[in-house]
Amino acid sequence: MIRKLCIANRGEIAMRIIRTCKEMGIETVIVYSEADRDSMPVQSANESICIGEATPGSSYLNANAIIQVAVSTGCDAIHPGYGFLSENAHFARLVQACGLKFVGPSPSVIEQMGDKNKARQMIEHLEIPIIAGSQDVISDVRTGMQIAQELTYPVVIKASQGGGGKGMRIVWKEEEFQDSFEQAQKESENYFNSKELYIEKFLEHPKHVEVQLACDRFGHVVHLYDRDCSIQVHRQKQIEEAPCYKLSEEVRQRICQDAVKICQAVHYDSVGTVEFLIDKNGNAYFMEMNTRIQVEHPVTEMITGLDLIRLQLEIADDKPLSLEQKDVVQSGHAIECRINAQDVYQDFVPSFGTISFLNFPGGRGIRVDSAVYSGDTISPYYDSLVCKLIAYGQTRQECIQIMKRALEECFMEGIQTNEMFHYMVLNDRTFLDASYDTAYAGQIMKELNGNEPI
Amino acid sequence: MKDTKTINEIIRIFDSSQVKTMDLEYDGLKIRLEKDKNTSIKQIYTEEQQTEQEDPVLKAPLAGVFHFSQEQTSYAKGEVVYHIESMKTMNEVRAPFDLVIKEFLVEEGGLVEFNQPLIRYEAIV
Repeated sequence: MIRKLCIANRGEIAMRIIRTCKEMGIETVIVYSEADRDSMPVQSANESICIGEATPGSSYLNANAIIQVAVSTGCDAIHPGYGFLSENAHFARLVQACGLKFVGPSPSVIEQMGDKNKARQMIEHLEIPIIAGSQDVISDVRTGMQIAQELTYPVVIKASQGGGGKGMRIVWKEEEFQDSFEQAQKESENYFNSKELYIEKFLEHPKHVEVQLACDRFGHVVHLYDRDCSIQVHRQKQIEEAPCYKLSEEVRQRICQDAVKICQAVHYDSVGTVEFLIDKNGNAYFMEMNTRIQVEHPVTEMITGLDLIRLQLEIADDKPLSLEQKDVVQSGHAIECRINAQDVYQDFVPSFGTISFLNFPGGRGIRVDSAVYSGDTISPYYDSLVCKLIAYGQTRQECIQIMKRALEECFMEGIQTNEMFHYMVLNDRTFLDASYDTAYAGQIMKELNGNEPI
Repeated sequence: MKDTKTINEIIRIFDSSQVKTMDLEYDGLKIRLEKDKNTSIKQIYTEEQQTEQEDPVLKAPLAGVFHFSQEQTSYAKGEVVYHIESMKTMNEVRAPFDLVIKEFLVEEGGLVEFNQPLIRYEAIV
Protein backbone atom coordinates (compact mmCIF):
# COMPACT_ATOMS: atom_id res chain seq x y z
CA MET A 1 0.00 0.00 0.00
CA ILE A 2 1.27 3.47 -0.80
CA ARG A 3 1.61 5.17 2.56
CA LYS A 4 4.48 7.46 1.73
CA LEU A 5 5.14 9.06 -1.65
CA CYS A 6 8.27 10.68 -2.98
CA ILE A 7 7.52 13.55 -5.35
CA ALA A 8 10.22 14.04 -7.97
CA ASN A 9 9.01 17.32 -9.37
CA ARG A 10 8.38 20.96 -8.55
CA GLY A 11 6.03 23.89 -8.96
CA GLU A 12 2.32 23.54 -9.52
CA ILE A 13 2.28 19.81 -10.28
CA ALA A 14 4.20 19.05 -7.09
CA MET A 15 1.64 21.11 -5.19
CA ARG A 16 -1.16 19.30 -7.01
CA ILE A 17 0.20 15.90 -5.98
CA ILE A 18 0.79 17.00 -2.38
CA ARG A 19 -2.80 18.22 -2.13
CA THR A 20 -4.29 14.90 -3.19
CA CYS A 21 -1.86 13.04 -0.93
CA LYS A 22 -2.98 15.11 2.05
CA GLU A 23 -6.59 14.31 1.20
CA MET A 24 -5.76 10.61 0.92
CA GLY A 25 -3.67 10.51 4.10
CA ILE A 26 -0.47 9.73 2.18
CA GLU A 27 2.74 11.18 3.63
CA THR A 28 4.88 13.12 1.24
CA VAL A 29 8.61 13.51 0.72
CA ILE A 30 9.69 16.05 -1.86
CA VAL A 31 13.12 16.24 -3.45
CA TYR A 32 14.13 19.70 -4.59
CA SER A 33 16.87 21.87 -6.00
CA GLU A 34 18.48 24.79 -4.21
CA ALA A 35 16.46 27.18 -6.35
CA ASP A 36 13.21 25.77 -4.92
CA ARG A 37 14.18 25.82 -1.25
CA ASP A 38 11.57 28.45 -0.38
CA SER A 39 8.88 27.15 -2.71
CA MET A 40 5.38 26.25 -1.58
CA PRO A 41 5.59 22.52 -2.35
CA VAL A 42 8.83 22.21 -0.36
CA GLN A 43 7.21 23.96 2.58
CA SER A 44 4.02 21.89 2.26
CA ALA A 45 5.42 18.36 2.03
CA ASN A 46 5.91 16.32 5.21
CA GLU A 47 9.62 16.00 4.46
CA SER A 48 11.85 17.77 2.02
CA ILE A 49 15.35 16.85 0.91
CA CYS A 50 17.59 19.05 -1.19
CA ILE A 51 19.30 16.93 -3.81
CA GLY A 52 21.25 19.37 -5.93
CA GLU A 53 21.85 22.69 -7.55
CA ALA A 54 19.27 24.54 -9.60
CA THR A 55 20.16 22.99 -12.95
CA PRO A 56 17.80 20.12 -13.75
CA GLY A 57 20.67 17.72 -14.41
CA SER A 58 21.87 18.17 -10.86
CA SER A 59 18.43 17.88 -9.31
CA TYR A 60 15.17 16.93 -11.01
CA LEU A 61 16.91 14.70 -13.55
CA ASN A 62 19.23 13.23 -10.94
CA ALA A 63 17.74 9.74 -10.91
CA ASN A 64 20.18 8.27 -8.40
CA ALA A 65 19.66 11.00 -5.84
CA ILE A 66 15.90 10.85 -6.22
CA ILE A 67 15.72 7.10 -5.72
CA GLN A 68 18.26 7.07 -2.87
CA VAL A 69 16.23 9.68 -1.00
CA ALA A 70 12.98 7.83 -1.65
CA VAL A 71 14.46 4.61 -0.29
CA SER A 72 16.15 6.24 2.69
CA THR A 73 12.99 8.06 3.75
CA GLY A 74 10.90 4.91 3.56
CA CYS A 75 8.76 5.85 0.58
CA ASP A 76 6.63 3.24 -1.16
CA ALA A 77 6.42 5.00 -4.49
CA ILE A 78 7.77 7.82 -6.61
CA HIS A 79 5.57 10.25 -8.56
CA PRO A 80 7.48 11.81 -11.46
CA GLY A 81 4.91 14.52 -12.28
CA TYR A 82 5.23 15.72 -15.88
CA GLY A 83 8.36 16.61 -17.83
CA PHE A 84 11.73 15.68 -16.25
CA LEU A 85 11.86 11.89 -15.76
CA SER A 86 8.15 11.20 -16.16
CA GLU A 87 8.48 9.46 -19.55
CA ASN A 88 11.94 8.00 -19.00
CA ALA A 89 11.56 4.22 -19.18
CA HIS A 90 15.04 3.66 -17.77
CA PHE A 91 14.18 5.69 -14.69
CA ALA A 92 10.90 3.82 -14.27
CA ARG A 93 12.77 0.50 -14.42
CA LEU A 94 15.34 1.67 -11.90
CA VAL A 95 12.59 2.77 -9.50
CA GLN A 96 10.98 -0.65 -9.72
CA ALA A 97 14.31 -2.44 -9.40
CA CYS A 98 14.81 -0.65 -6.09
CA GLY A 99 11.55 -2.01 -4.76
CA LEU A 100 9.46 1.13 -5.22
CA LYS A 101 6.32 1.73 -7.24
CA PHE A 102 6.52 4.11 -10.20
CA VAL A 103 3.39 6.22 -10.50
CA GLY A 104 2.92 5.85 -14.22
CA PRO A 105 2.61 3.08 -16.79
CA SER A 106 4.93 0.08 -17.05
CA PRO A 107 8.41 0.87 -18.38
CA SER A 108 7.84 -1.28 -21.48
CA VAL A 109 4.72 0.71 -22.34
CA ILE A 110 6.57 4.01 -21.88
CA GLU A 111 9.21 2.70 -24.24
CA GLN A 112 6.76 1.48 -26.82
CA MET A 113 4.76 4.71 -27.05
CA GLY A 114 7.90 6.82 -26.79
CA ASP A 115 9.25 5.48 -30.08
CA LYS A 116 6.98 7.52 -32.37
CA ASN A 117 7.69 5.47 -35.46
CA LYS A 118 7.05 2.17 -33.72
CA ALA A 119 3.92 3.63 -32.18
CA ARG A 120 2.60 4.75 -35.56
CA GLN A 121 3.14 1.32 -37.07
CA MET A 122 1.40 -0.36 -34.19
CA ILE A 123 -1.53 2.07 -34.37
CA GLU A 124 -1.78 1.43 -38.09
CA HIS A 125 -2.12 -2.27 -37.45
CA LEU A 126 -5.07 -1.48 -35.24
CA GLU A 127 -6.68 0.17 -38.26
CA ILE A 128 -6.76 3.53 -36.56
CA PRO A 129 -5.98 6.44 -38.88
CA ILE A 130 -2.50 7.90 -38.48
CA ILE A 131 -1.19 10.97 -40.25
CA ALA A 132 -0.56 9.05 -43.36
CA GLY A 133 2.74 8.88 -45.09
CA SER A 134 4.75 6.71 -47.39
CA GLN A 135 6.49 3.76 -45.78
CA ASP A 136 9.66 3.84 -47.83
CA VAL A 137 11.47 6.62 -49.63
CA ILE A 138 10.43 7.42 -53.21
CA SER A 139 12.62 8.32 -56.16
CA ASP A 140 10.26 8.20 -59.15
CA VAL A 141 7.20 10.20 -60.06
CA ARG A 142 4.94 7.25 -60.84
CA THR A 143 5.33 5.68 -57.39
CA GLY A 144 4.97 9.09 -55.83
CA MET A 145 1.77 9.84 -57.68
CA GLN A 146 0.32 6.51 -56.74
CA ILE A 147 1.03 7.10 -53.09
CA ALA A 148 -0.34 10.64 -53.31
CA GLN A 149 -3.55 9.29 -54.77
CA GLU A 150 -3.79 6.84 -51.91
CA LEU A 151 -3.17 9.57 -49.40
CA THR A 152 -5.59 11.95 -51.14
CA TYR A 153 -4.77 15.58 -51.77
CA PRO A 154 -3.46 17.88 -50.46
CA VAL A 155 -0.19 16.11 -49.78
CA VAL A 156 3.21 17.38 -48.91
CA ILE A 157 6.31 16.10 -50.68
CA LYS A 158 9.37 16.22 -48.50
CA ALA A 159 13.05 15.58 -49.09
CA SER A 160 14.08 12.55 -47.13
CA GLN A 161 17.41 14.15 -46.24
CA GLY A 162 15.90 17.60 -46.11
CA GLY A 163 15.18 20.48 -43.82
CA GLY A 164 14.52 24.18 -43.69
CA GLY A 165 11.62 23.95 -46.11
CA LYS A 166 13.90 22.98 -48.98
CA GLY A 167 12.80 20.12 -51.15
CA MET A 168 9.31 20.51 -49.80
CA ARG A 169 6.20 21.07 -51.88
CA ILE A 170 2.55 21.14 -50.92
CA VAL A 171 0.48 19.64 -53.69
CA TRP A 172 -3.21 20.52 -53.83
CA LYS A 173 -4.31 18.46 -56.79
CA GLU A 174 -3.15 15.60 -59.00
CA GLU A 175 -2.50 17.82 -62.04
CA GLU A 176 0.20 19.63 -60.11
CA PHE A 177 1.90 16.53 -58.76
CA GLN A 178 4.43 15.80 -61.47
CA ASP A 179 5.82 19.34 -61.62
CA SER A 180 6.00 19.61 -57.85
CA PHE A 181 7.69 16.24 -57.56
CA GLU A 182 10.34 17.12 -60.11
CA GLN A 183 10.98 20.52 -58.53
CA ALA A 184 11.26 18.99 -55.08
CA GLN A 185 13.61 16.36 -56.36
CA LYS A 186 15.84 18.90 -58.13
CA GLU A 187 15.98 21.02 -54.99
CA SER A 188 16.75 17.99 -52.90
CA GLU A 189 19.60 17.09 -55.23
CA ASN A 190 21.00 20.62 -55.11
CA TYR A 191 20.79 21.07 -51.39
CA PHE A 192 21.12 17.56 -49.98
CA ASN A 193 22.73 15.57 -52.74
CA SER A 194 19.84 13.12 -52.73
CA LYS A 195 16.92 12.26 -54.95
CA GLU A 196 15.02 10.56 -52.16
CA LEU A 197 11.65 11.97 -51.22
CA TYR A 198 8.72 10.87 -49.13
CA ILE A 199 5.10 11.95 -49.03
CA GLU A 200 2.78 12.83 -46.22
CA LYS A 201 -0.82 13.84 -46.04
CA PHE A 202 -0.98 17.59 -45.51
CA LEU A 203 -3.30 18.65 -42.72
CA GLU A 204 -4.41 22.22 -43.14
CA HIS A 205 -4.89 23.98 -39.84
CA PRO A 206 -6.13 21.03 -37.85
CA LYS A 207 -7.63 21.04 -34.42
CA HIS A 208 -5.59 19.35 -31.73
CA VAL A 209 -7.99 17.21 -29.73
CA GLU A 210 -6.91 14.73 -27.12
CA VAL A 211 -8.60 11.98 -25.14
CA GLN A 212 -7.89 11.40 -21.46
CA LEU A 213 -7.88 7.82 -20.20
CA ALA A 214 -7.50 5.90 -16.97
CA CYS A 215 -6.43 2.26 -17.12
CA ASP A 216 -5.71 -0.10 -14.26
CA ARG A 217 -3.27 -3.00 -14.04
CA PHE A 218 -6.07 -5.48 -14.66
CA GLY A 219 -6.89 -4.48 -18.22
CA HIS A 220 -9.79 -2.22 -17.34
CA VAL A 221 -9.76 0.89 -19.57
CA VAL A 222 -12.00 3.92 -19.18
CA HIS A 223 -11.90 7.07 -21.30
CA LEU A 224 -12.63 10.43 -19.72
CA TYR A 225 -13.58 12.19 -22.94
CA ASP A 226 -11.88 14.95 -24.87
CA ARG A 227 -10.01 18.21 -24.58
CA ASP A 228 -9.41 20.89 -27.21
CA CYS A 229 -5.81 22.07 -27.03
CA SER A 230 -5.55 23.90 -30.36
CA ILE A 231 -4.42 27.22 -28.93
CA GLN A 232 -0.63 26.91 -28.98
CA VAL A 233 2.20 29.43 -29.17
CA HIS A 234 5.57 28.01 -30.24
CA ARG A 235 4.13 24.49 -29.91
CA GLN A 236 3.27 25.23 -26.27
CA LYS A 237 -0.38 24.96 -25.20
CA GLN A 238 -1.79 28.18 -23.78
CA ILE A 239 -5.52 27.54 -23.41
CA GLU A 240 -7.34 24.23 -23.14
CA GLU A 241 -11.03 23.38 -23.02
CA ALA A 242 -13.15 20.42 -22.09
CA PRO A 243 -15.10 19.27 -23.94
CA CYS A 244 -14.07 20.22 -27.49
CA TYR A 245 -17.05 22.36 -28.32
CA LYS A 246 -17.26 21.91 -32.08
CA LEU A 247 -16.69 18.15 -32.05
CA SER A 248 -19.60 16.15 -33.43
CA GLU A 249 -20.83 13.34 -31.25
CA GLU A 250 -19.88 10.89 -33.97
CA VAL A 251 -16.24 11.99 -34.09
CA ARG A 252 -16.11 12.17 -30.31
CA GLN A 253 -17.23 8.60 -29.94
CA ARG A 254 -14.84 7.49 -32.66
CA ILE A 255 -11.72 9.03 -31.16
CA CYS A 256 -12.66 7.93 -27.65
CA GLN A 257 -13.15 4.38 -28.84
CA ASP A 258 -9.90 4.48 -30.82
CA ALA A 259 -8.06 5.75 -27.76
CA VAL A 260 -9.50 2.90 -25.70
CA LYS A 261 -8.47 0.43 -28.39
CA ILE A 262 -4.90 1.75 -28.30
CA CYS A 263 -4.67 1.48 -24.51
CA GLN A 264 -6.02 -2.05 -24.60
CA ALA A 265 -3.59 -3.08 -27.33
CA VAL A 266 -0.52 -1.90 -25.40
CA HIS A 267 -1.91 -2.94 -22.01
CA TYR A 268 -1.65 0.63 -20.80
CA ASP A 269 -1.81 0.72 -17.03
CA SER A 270 -2.00 4.26 -15.71
CA VAL A 271 -3.48 7.64 -16.52
CA GLY A 272 -2.59 8.84 -20.03
CA THR A 273 -3.64 10.85 -23.06
CA VAL A 274 -4.00 10.02 -26.74
CA GLU A 275 -3.58 13.00 -29.07
CA PHE A 276 -5.34 13.40 -32.40
CA LEU A 277 -5.28 15.96 -35.18
CA ILE A 278 -8.67 16.58 -36.73
CA ASP A 279 -8.90 18.13 -40.16
CA LYS A 280 -11.60 20.39 -41.57
CA ASN A 281 -13.65 17.43 -42.71
CA GLY A 282 -13.78 15.85 -39.29
CA ASN A 283 -11.22 13.16 -40.07
CA ALA A 284 -9.21 12.32 -36.98
CA TYR A 285 -5.63 11.08 -37.13
CA PHE A 286 -3.58 9.63 -34.31
CA MET A 287 -0.65 11.85 -33.52
CA GLU A 288 0.96 10.49 -30.36
CA MET A 289 0.34 9.23 -26.86
CA ASN A 290 1.48 10.96 -23.66
CA THR A 291 2.20 8.39 -21.00
CA ARG A 292 2.01 10.76 -18.02
CA ILE A 293 -0.31 13.16 -16.22
CA GLN A 294 -0.59 16.36 -18.24
CA VAL A 295 -0.62 20.03 -17.35
CA GLU A 296 -4.19 20.48 -18.61
CA HIS A 297 -5.72 17.60 -16.66
CA PRO A 298 -7.84 19.97 -14.46
CA VAL A 299 -10.33 20.76 -17.23
CA THR A 300 -11.19 17.07 -17.47
CA GLU A 301 -11.48 16.93 -13.69
CA MET A 302 -13.92 19.82 -13.65
CA ILE A 303 -16.36 18.33 -16.14
CA THR A 304 -16.18 14.76 -14.84
CA GLY A 305 -15.85 15.48 -11.14
CA LEU A 306 -12.85 13.15 -10.86
CA ASP A 307 -9.45 13.48 -9.19
CA LEU A 308 -6.97 12.21 -11.76
CA ILE A 309 -4.03 12.20 -9.36
CA ARG A 310 -6.04 10.07 -6.95
CA LEU A 311 -6.87 7.67 -9.80
CA GLN A 312 -3.20 7.57 -10.76
CA LEU A 313 -2.15 6.70 -7.21
CA GLU A 314 -4.83 4.05 -6.82
CA ILE A 315 -3.80 2.42 -10.09
CA ALA A 316 -0.14 2.49 -9.04
CA ASP A 317 -1.22 0.86 -5.80
CA ASP A 318 -2.51 -2.13 -7.80
CA LYS A 319 -6.12 -1.30 -7.08
CA PRO A 320 -8.72 -2.08 -9.74
CA LEU A 321 -10.49 0.94 -11.21
CA SER A 322 -13.82 1.34 -9.44
CA LEU A 323 -14.91 3.55 -12.30
CA GLU A 324 -17.12 2.18 -15.09
CA GLN A 325 -17.44 3.87 -18.47
CA LYS A 326 -21.15 4.45 -17.88
CA ASP A 327 -20.29 6.38 -14.71
CA VAL A 328 -18.24 8.93 -16.62
CA VAL A 329 -20.36 11.87 -17.67
CA GLN A 330 -19.31 15.15 -19.22
CA SER A 331 -21.15 17.88 -17.37
CA GLY A 332 -20.72 21.57 -18.01
CA HIS A 333 -17.71 23.22 -19.60
CA ALA A 334 -14.22 24.06 -18.38
CA ILE A 335 -11.44 26.28 -19.70
CA GLU A 336 -7.87 26.55 -18.49
CA CYS A 337 -5.65 29.56 -19.13
CA ARG A 338 -1.97 28.97 -18.44
CA ILE A 339 -0.55 32.11 -16.89
CA ASN A 340 3.15 32.09 -17.81
CA ALA A 341 5.95 34.50 -17.03
CA GLN A 342 6.21 35.53 -20.68
CA ASP A 343 6.38 38.89 -22.41
CA VAL A 344 3.69 38.77 -25.08
CA TYR A 345 5.12 41.80 -26.85
CA GLN A 346 8.53 40.15 -27.17
CA ASP A 347 7.40 36.98 -28.90
CA PHE A 348 6.54 35.32 -25.57
CA VAL A 349 10.12 35.39 -24.34
CA PRO A 350 10.32 34.16 -20.72
CA SER A 351 10.37 36.89 -18.10
CA PHE A 352 11.95 35.82 -14.82
CA GLY A 353 12.02 37.64 -11.53
CA THR A 354 10.36 38.14 -8.18
CA ILE A 355 6.61 38.49 -7.93
CA SER A 356 6.37 41.60 -5.79
CA PHE A 357 2.60 41.53 -5.59
CA LEU A 358 0.12 38.85 -6.45
CA ASN A 359 -3.66 38.55 -6.46
CA PHE A 360 -5.42 35.41 -7.54
CA PRO A 361 -9.04 35.50 -8.67
CA GLY A 362 -11.76 33.72 -6.77
CA GLY A 363 -15.46 33.25 -6.60
CA ARG A 364 -17.91 30.84 -8.12
CA GLY A 365 -16.55 28.63 -10.86
CA ILE A 366 -12.87 29.46 -10.37
CA ARG A 367 -10.07 27.03 -9.55
CA VAL A 368 -6.45 28.15 -9.32
CA ASP A 369 -3.69 25.53 -9.54
CA SER A 370 -0.48 27.23 -8.55
CA ALA A 371 2.54 27.06 -6.32
CA VAL A 372 3.52 30.70 -6.17
CA TYR A 373 2.92 33.32 -3.53
CA SER A 374 3.54 37.04 -3.20
CA GLY A 375 7.29 37.49 -2.95
CA ASP A 376 8.08 34.20 -4.65
CA THR A 377 10.61 33.99 -7.46
CA ILE A 378 10.21 32.63 -10.97
CA SER A 379 13.68 31.36 -11.77
CA PRO A 380 15.23 30.86 -15.20
CA TYR A 381 16.05 27.18 -14.74
CA TYR A 382 12.60 25.76 -15.32
CA ASP A 383 9.45 26.44 -17.30
CA SER A 384 7.67 29.76 -17.05
CA LEU A 385 4.33 28.49 -15.76
CA VAL A 386 3.15 30.67 -12.89
CA CYS A 387 -0.36 29.38 -12.40
CA LYS A 388 -3.25 27.68 -14.11
CA LEU A 389 -6.55 29.52 -14.07
CA ILE A 390 -9.43 27.14 -14.52
CA ALA A 391 -13.01 28.28 -15.02
CA TYR A 392 -16.04 26.03 -14.90
CA GLY A 393 -19.60 26.80 -15.96
CA GLN A 394 -22.82 25.05 -16.78
CA THR A 395 -22.39 26.12 -20.39
CA ARG A 396 -19.41 27.22 -22.46
CA GLN A 397 -20.78 30.74 -22.57
CA GLU A 398 -21.02 30.94 -18.80
CA CYS A 399 -17.54 29.48 -18.49
CA ILE A 400 -16.12 32.17 -20.78
CA GLN A 401 -17.89 34.91 -18.78
CA ILE A 402 -16.37 33.56 -15.57
CA MET A 403 -12.87 33.32 -17.07
CA LYS A 404 -13.01 36.87 -18.44
CA ARG A 405 -14.11 38.15 -15.06
CA ALA A 406 -11.33 36.16 -13.37
CA LEU A 407 -8.64 37.47 -15.70
CA GLU A 408 -9.57 40.98 -14.63
CA GLU A 409 -9.07 40.06 -10.98
CA CYS A 410 -5.78 38.27 -11.54
CA PHE A 411 -2.70 40.43 -11.35
CA MET A 412 0.97 40.06 -10.74
CA GLU A 413 3.67 42.65 -10.42
CA GLY A 414 7.37 42.10 -10.82
CA ILE A 415 7.18 39.84 -13.85
CA GLN A 416 5.62 40.02 -17.29
CA THR A 417 2.81 37.57 -17.90
CA ASN A 418 0.82 36.41 -20.91
CA GLU A 419 -2.47 37.61 -19.41
CA MET A 420 -3.05 40.06 -22.25
CA PHE A 421 -2.93 37.17 -24.73
CA HIS A 422 -5.62 35.32 -22.79
CA TYR A 423 -7.71 38.43 -22.51
CA MET A 424 -7.56 39.02 -26.26
CA VAL A 425 -8.45 35.44 -27.09
CA LEU A 426 -11.33 35.31 -24.61
CA ASN A 427 -12.84 38.39 -26.27
CA ASP A 428 -12.26 37.28 -29.83
CA ARG A 429 -14.99 36.05 -32.15
CA THR A 430 -13.02 33.06 -33.45
CA PHE A 431 -12.58 31.82 -29.92
CA LEU A 432 -16.15 32.58 -28.95
CA ASP A 433 -17.58 30.52 -31.78
CA ALA A 434 -14.98 27.81 -31.12
CA SER A 435 -13.92 27.72 -34.76
CA TYR A 436 -10.23 28.19 -33.92
CA ASP A 437 -7.53 25.82 -35.10
CA THR A 438 -3.81 25.42 -34.44
CA ALA A 439 -2.96 28.43 -36.62
CA TYR A 440 -5.17 30.75 -34.58
CA ALA A 441 -2.80 31.66 -31.77
CA GLY A 442 -0.23 32.82 -34.32
CA GLN A 443 -2.77 35.24 -35.77
CA ILE A 444 -3.51 36.67 -32.32
CA MET A 445 0.20 37.11 -31.71
CA LYS A 446 0.53 39.09 -34.94
CA GLU A 447 -2.26 41.36 -33.76
CA LEU A 448 -0.68 41.79 -30.34
CA ASN A 449 2.69 42.71 -31.78
CA GLY A 450 1.14 45.02 -34.32
CA ASN A 451 -0.28 47.25 -31.65
CA GLU A 452 1.21 49.46 -28.98
CA PRO A 453 1.43 47.82 -25.55
CA ILE A 454 -1.29 49.06 -23.21
CA MET B 1 25.26 74.28 1.54
CA LYS B 2 21.95 72.87 0.57
CA ASP B 3 19.35 72.30 3.18
CA THR B 4 20.03 68.76 4.44
CA LYS B 5 16.52 68.60 5.78
CA THR B 6 15.17 69.05 2.24
CA ILE B 7 17.53 66.41 0.88
CA ASN B 8 16.50 63.96 3.59
CA GLU B 9 12.88 64.68 2.77
CA ILE B 10 13.51 63.98 -0.90
CA ILE B 11 15.22 60.71 -0.02
CA ARG B 12 12.36 59.72 2.26
CA ILE B 13 9.74 60.42 -0.40
CA PHE B 14 11.75 58.52 -3.01
CA ASP B 15 12.26 55.58 -0.70
CA SER B 16 8.60 55.15 0.08
CA SER B 17 7.53 55.44 -3.55
CA GLN B 18 7.43 52.90 -6.41
CA VAL B 19 9.96 54.94 -8.37
CA LYS B 20 13.20 53.07 -9.02
CA THR B 21 15.49 55.83 -10.31
CA MET B 22 15.29 59.59 -10.08
CA ASP B 23 17.46 62.38 -11.46
CA LEU B 24 16.72 65.67 -9.79
CA GLU B 25 18.19 69.03 -10.62
CA TYR B 26 17.23 72.27 -8.94
CA ASP B 27 18.94 75.38 -7.73
CA GLY B 28 22.31 74.12 -8.90
CA LEU B 29 21.96 70.86 -6.98
CA LYS B 30 22.05 67.58 -8.84
CA ILE B 31 20.87 64.39 -7.16
CA ARG B 32 20.69 60.92 -8.61
CA LEU B 33 18.80 58.35 -6.58
CA GLU B 34 18.66 54.66 -7.46
CA LYS B 35 17.00 51.69 -5.79
CA ASP B 36 18.45 48.19 -5.81
CA LYS B 37 17.51 46.34 -8.97
CA ASN B 38 15.79 42.99 -8.44
CA THR B 39 18.17 40.79 -6.54
CA SER B 40 19.23 38.03 -8.89
CA ILE B 41 18.94 34.43 -7.81
CA LYS B 42 22.72 34.05 -7.65
CA GLN B 43 23.01 36.96 -5.28
CA ILE B 44 20.44 35.49 -2.91
CA TYR B 45 22.36 32.27 -2.55
CA THR B 46 25.72 33.99 -2.12
CA GLU B 47 24.30 36.12 0.69
CA GLU B 48 22.80 33.10 2.42
CA GLN B 49 26.04 31.19 2.26
CA GLN B 50 27.98 34.10 3.67
CA THR B 51 25.80 34.37 6.77
CA GLU B 52 26.05 30.63 7.34
CA GLN B 53 29.82 30.48 7.30
CA GLU B 54 30.69 31.66 10.76
CA ASP B 55 32.35 28.35 11.59
CA PRO B 56 33.89 26.66 8.60
CA VAL B 57 32.02 23.50 7.69
CA LEU B 58 32.35 20.78 5.09
CA LYS B 59 29.11 20.48 3.16
CA ALA B 60 27.71 17.45 1.42
CA PRO B 61 28.51 17.54 -2.31
CA LEU B 62 25.58 15.24 -3.01
CA ALA B 63 22.53 13.80 -1.28
CA GLY B 64 22.85 10.32 0.13
CA VAL B 65 23.75 8.25 3.18
CA PHE B 66 26.63 9.50 5.33
CA HIS B 67 29.37 7.05 6.40
CA PHE B 68 32.38 7.78 8.59
CA SER B 69 35.68 6.94 7.00
CA GLN B 70 38.30 6.67 9.70
CA GLU B 71 38.68 7.19 13.43
CA GLN B 72 41.26 9.98 13.21
CA THR B 73 40.48 13.65 13.89
CA SER B 74 43.04 15.27 11.64
CA TYR B 75 43.37 14.75 7.92
CA ALA B 76 45.97 15.70 5.39
CA LYS B 77 44.90 17.28 2.12
CA GLY B 78 43.55 14.59 -0.19
CA GLU B 79 42.76 12.03 2.51
CA VAL B 80 39.25 10.57 2.52
CA VAL B 81 37.32 12.19 5.37
CA TYR B 82 33.95 10.54 4.83
CA HIS B 83 31.76 8.73 2.29
CA ILE B 84 28.34 9.46 0.89
CA GLU B 85 26.53 6.45 -0.42
CA SER B 86 24.05 6.83 -3.24
CA MET B 87 22.47 3.89 -5.03
CA LYS B 88 25.02 1.41 -3.68
CA THR B 89 27.91 3.60 -4.88
CA MET B 90 30.32 4.95 -2.27
CA ASN B 91 31.42 8.46 -3.08
CA GLU B 92 34.68 9.39 -1.38
CA VAL B 93 34.92 12.94 -0.05
CA ARG B 94 38.47 14.11 0.47
CA ALA B 95 39.96 16.89 2.63
CA PRO B 96 40.45 20.00 0.47
CA PHE B 97 43.40 21.00 2.68
CA ASP B 98 44.99 19.90 5.97
CA LEU B 99 42.32 20.06 8.65
CA VAL B 100 41.27 19.04 12.13
CA ILE B 101 37.72 17.94 12.85
CA LYS B 102 36.05 19.90 15.61
CA GLU B 103 32.58 18.40 15.46
CA PHE B 104 30.48 16.00 13.43
CA LEU B 105 27.04 17.39 12.66
CA VAL B 106 25.59 14.13 11.36
CA GLU B 107 25.33 10.55 12.47
CA GLU B 108 26.59 7.39 10.85
CA GLY B 109 24.04 6.10 8.32
CA GLY B 110 22.04 9.32 8.31
CA LEU B 111 20.47 10.68 5.14
CA VAL B 112 22.10 13.97 4.19
CA GLU B 113 20.96 16.64 1.77
CA PHE B 114 22.95 18.37 -0.95
CA ASN B 115 25.02 21.15 0.70
CA GLN B 116 24.10 20.08 4.20
CA PRO B 117 26.76 21.10 6.77
CA LEU B 118 28.40 17.85 7.92
CA ILE B 119 31.65 18.59 9.71
CA ARG B 120 32.87 21.60 11.60
CA TYR B 121 36.62 21.87 11.11
CA GLU B 122 39.66 23.97 11.66
CA ALA B 123 42.17 24.35 8.87
CA ILE B 124 45.73 23.49 9.82
CA VAL B 125 47.92 26.29 8.60
